Amino acid sequence: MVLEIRNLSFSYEDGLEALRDVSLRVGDGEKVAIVGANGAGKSTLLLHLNGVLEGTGQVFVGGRRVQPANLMEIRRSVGLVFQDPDDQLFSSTVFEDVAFGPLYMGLPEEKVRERVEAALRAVGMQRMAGRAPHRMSLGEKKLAAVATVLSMDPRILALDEPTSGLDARATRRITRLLAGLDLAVLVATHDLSLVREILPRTIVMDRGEIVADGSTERILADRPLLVRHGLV
Amino acid sequence: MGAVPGKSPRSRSEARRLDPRTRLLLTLLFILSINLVPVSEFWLYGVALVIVWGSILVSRAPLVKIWMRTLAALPFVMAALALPFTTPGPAVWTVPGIGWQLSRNGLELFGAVLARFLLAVQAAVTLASVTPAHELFQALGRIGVPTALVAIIGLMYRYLSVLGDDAARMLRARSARTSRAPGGKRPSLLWQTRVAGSMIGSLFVRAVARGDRLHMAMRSRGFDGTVRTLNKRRLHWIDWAMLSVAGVAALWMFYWRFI
Repeated sequence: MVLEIRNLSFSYEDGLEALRDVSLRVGDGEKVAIVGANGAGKSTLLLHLNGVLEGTGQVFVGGRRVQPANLMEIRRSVGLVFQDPDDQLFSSTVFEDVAFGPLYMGLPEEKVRERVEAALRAVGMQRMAGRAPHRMSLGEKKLAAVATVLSMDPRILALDEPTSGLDARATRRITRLLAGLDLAVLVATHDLSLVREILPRTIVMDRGEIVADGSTERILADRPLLVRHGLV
Repeated sequence: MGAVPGKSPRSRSEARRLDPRTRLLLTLLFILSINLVPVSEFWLYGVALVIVWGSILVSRAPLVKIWMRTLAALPFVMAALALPFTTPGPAVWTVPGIGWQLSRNGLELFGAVLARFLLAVQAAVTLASVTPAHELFQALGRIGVPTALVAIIGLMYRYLSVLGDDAARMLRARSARTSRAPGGKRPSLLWQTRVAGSMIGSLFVRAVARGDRLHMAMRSRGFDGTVRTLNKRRLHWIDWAMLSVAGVAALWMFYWRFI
């Protein structure tokens, strides 16, 4: 069991209740889709996995509870990829961005460089280390954003809308990349074809609650459920 | 540049390139030196011009671009336009009707300010043209500028284009909805100012929201408030040689001017 969430609830400062009594378990290497209409709480849920947001309830990563005392260790295990790659790529070059995580893990310089090379190779961007993020296409930025967390060698990869705004070719690259990763992957998305293709388990969220959790095949075949929760 | 910047020792061809720190320090020493040139020693500005243009040629920097950027900064010279009239000295010309006197000393002073300004801006623009921004930021950090300040400058540079894109999108959206019925009146200046004001406000709010998301992304990857960097390149003999020459020149100018 790589992730366990027990009775997690969270409200934003303006009183908006974003998560209501969410509980779920994810096994090692499991690939899970989190789907739901806008405002269903998908992104908020992802932000709880490494303690960026703290709600009431409990979150365990690799058996360790997510709490202030061990946040640094948790953040090594959970790679969070934000929806807008411009939020993720804040350095002047791709190299610096991919090196950021390993650097803050306190790794020696040689190890950091090895991690960067391996992560860039994994996303097929070895030749783009010296590129400035603001001169890259959206598809390249999204791949580079994944590399920024792969370099931390996480146990869980959590991605927020990894294919939104991408053309067919870029979507295919991301899809192939995620399918080939040997770690637990959680994807918050509206892209049902991505879900169908590479994510065998689907969790449906609506207004901060988990309303369905099961095999992707079964859930995507349940048209009334999809309509009821604004997915089709 | 290879796949991983700064990894391997500098190759033969790369060894001819100066370290970004050297380039930065040379530019600073140059600007300091030309500001120490005594007003009447105009020949020294010629020497300085040869140095700047020589660097532009050697570094194969785009000359036209450098000139365009230099000219863009020219309005700042306006601040010195009053000098020929306000500096005491023998008059060379009197403005008919008003009686303002143009003094010889004032003209010399204005010429010196103009020359210093153009040379300093050209040197800085050349530095920026031949040094990638990220190398310049690293150089700033490694010559002792506080790393937090360097990080802020780096983030500003990185997000300037993102903010610019946001602004361009808003302007496009405004233009798309700006039309006038036949015979309709042009919106008042007050109304236009109000629209511009709310656009700036909206950009500000977006920038703050992005700052929040950015901070979350940094914390997610272990950011603890300190700034850490890689890339510990060593200076080569050519760097030391150039810095020594520039340092001696600056000291000489200082001695000449003040001692």
